[in-house]
Amino acid sequence: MVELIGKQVAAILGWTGAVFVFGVRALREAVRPPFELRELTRQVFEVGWRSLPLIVAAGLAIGVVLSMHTRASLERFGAEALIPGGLALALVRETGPLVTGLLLAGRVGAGIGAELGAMRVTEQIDALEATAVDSFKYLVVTRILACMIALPILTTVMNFTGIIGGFLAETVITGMSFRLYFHRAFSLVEMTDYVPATLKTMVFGFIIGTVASYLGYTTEQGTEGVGRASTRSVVLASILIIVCNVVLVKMTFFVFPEAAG
Amino acid sequence: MYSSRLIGVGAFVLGGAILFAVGLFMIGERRMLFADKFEVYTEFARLGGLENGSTVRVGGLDAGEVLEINVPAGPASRFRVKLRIREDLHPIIRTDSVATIQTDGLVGNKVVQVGAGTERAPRAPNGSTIPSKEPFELADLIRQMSETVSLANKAIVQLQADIETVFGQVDTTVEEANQLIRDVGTGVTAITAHASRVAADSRAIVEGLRAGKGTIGKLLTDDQLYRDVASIAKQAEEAVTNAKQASEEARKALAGLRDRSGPVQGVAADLRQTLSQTREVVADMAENTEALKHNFFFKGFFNRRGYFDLDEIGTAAYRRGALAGKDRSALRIWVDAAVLFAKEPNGLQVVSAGGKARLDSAMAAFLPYPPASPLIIEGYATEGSHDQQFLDSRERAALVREYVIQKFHLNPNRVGIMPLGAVADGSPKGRAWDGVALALFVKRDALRSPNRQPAAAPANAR
Repeated sequence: MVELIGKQVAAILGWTGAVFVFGVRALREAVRPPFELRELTRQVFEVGWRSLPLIVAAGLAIGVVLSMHTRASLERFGAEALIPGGLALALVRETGPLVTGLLLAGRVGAGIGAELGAMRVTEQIDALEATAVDSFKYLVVTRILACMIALPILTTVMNFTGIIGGFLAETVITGMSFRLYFHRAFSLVEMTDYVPATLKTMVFGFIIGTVASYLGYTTEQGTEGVGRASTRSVVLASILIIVCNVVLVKMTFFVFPEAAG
Repeated sequence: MYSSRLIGVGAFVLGGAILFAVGLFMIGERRMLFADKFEVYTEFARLGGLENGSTVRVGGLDAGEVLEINVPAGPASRFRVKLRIREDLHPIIRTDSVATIQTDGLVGNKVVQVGAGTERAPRAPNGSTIPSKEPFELADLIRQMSETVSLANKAIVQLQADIETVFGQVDTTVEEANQLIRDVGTGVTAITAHASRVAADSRAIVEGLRAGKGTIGKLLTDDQLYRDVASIAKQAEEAVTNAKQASEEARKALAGLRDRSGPVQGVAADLRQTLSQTREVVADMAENTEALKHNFFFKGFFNRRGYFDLDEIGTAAYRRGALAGKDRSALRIWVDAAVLFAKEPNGLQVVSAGGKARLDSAMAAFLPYPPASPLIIEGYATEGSHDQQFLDSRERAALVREYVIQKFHLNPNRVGIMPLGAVADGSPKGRAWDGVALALFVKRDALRSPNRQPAAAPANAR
């Protein structure tokens, strides 16, 4: 029994170490030429631009729902004026970054895992290597960088569409103008709430890109392995995002103590 | 030409960057990062939760933030707060501008409110210290209310003492008046006695003269008789003087009772003043409690209840269903005026014995329902002009309300009256009714409650 647990722990530690080395290698390769800008652009298009409809729809829906919940709570205290500020604070600080990260882990993580896994199984990666193309740099680094670039932008889009969704819910009830709503929305948000929370999604992007690429890039056991890589990419990336978020929030509070207030 | 993919990526990256910048600009604008500013200081003994970065308002306009809070060196010193304010508001920040700490809404953050100064005071220089006023907190309000109640208690105790003094003084005055009357009575009796003696003596003298038992000369030369007559006359004069004096004193005493400076008037004036003060105190308390009802701590309770005060509901709103709402149903019992009321010999309308029995029976049907359900006595009257109908219906409703409150010990705040004239939709006689209707507004879930007696359902019973 102890031996079995020991093997499991060793497997987990080994896997974590392999992913870490994989990620560090990707970061190191990212600053070395050639930069594969064409493939990077294609990946930013795939990861960022094509995810916009999902993020906009989710943002609007989350904004409406958060507004309704916030209203129900604050109305009891006669503090309806705080609804826009409270909603924006919740979105900017946590809801926007985390939901964007999880949505991207679902959409992009699965895609990268499956795409690279299929390439590995069909020996396309080997073919690339045979043509003297650095497959790691061409396939992995570009995807990780694309995720790191797209996440903060998509998070900003999620924040603003969430605020617009909240405005739609609010204006139906109170007829509040957009100008006043927007002004009040940023009345409680500080720089220390906005900038670190948005930039931390680069870490989420790194996690999604690294985990999905690793699982896809190292796929074995044929098409079955492709499906497993796709599923595990989503699950592991999501868990790691949630766990890392705790650490990142704690680090933000440590660096910007006023953000904890 | 660029490919559509490149254009998409460009739009994505640039759009995201612009959105991010908008967010930065909104926060920066609020924090006045892009505006000219000046700084002033103010001092507070209590900060009440104020912190660095709290908003500063000038005349209610967001104008800056709290930049720094310096802790006092000793208990005698105060917190020194540095305020950063927009330069364009500098002209109205004068050396006599007063800073106060206020709450942004009821549960909001603390803000520093700086009032506009006066024209005669110079502009507050950069880095100067402006006067402050200590923050007002809810605890202070409660303390003031407590003091008000204490004051009212004192006034009532004082009133009691004054009333006792009044009764004591009235007692004394009556006693003195009685004594006075007794004294006057004695004097009058003496006068009468002396007068009788004078009359008797005079009659004897005249009879003696007529009978020739003496002579005028004897009368004139008899010193004893002369002295007796003189003494009698003098005593009569003294008695009359005493009586006059006594009656004068009695008159003065009675005038004193009526006079403004008299003891009764003085006490009455004190009483009036005390009552007036008490009335003001109670009115203040009523306003305070009314304000408290609308306060965020309590208004949830009244909102859930559906009404703040039954007296606030007008006839039109009532007819529109202000009390029925979405979660209450009205149970109504109609009682005819012919059964309910009787007229006394002096013409006053009262609830008759039969009417009381009918009301008891009607109320018995309501008692199984939650006591918190509002009960409205609807008054109806069909005779006379429209105004008269309204007045009569109100009087009827008020009579019935007084009876049911006293008889069934109901909470007066839960029992209201509603004068509705002659129009009574749904009454047993169609669209008009002469009498009253007892309407109990019961929550629908209480209606569905299984422990309610089905036989007690009185909806539209007559």
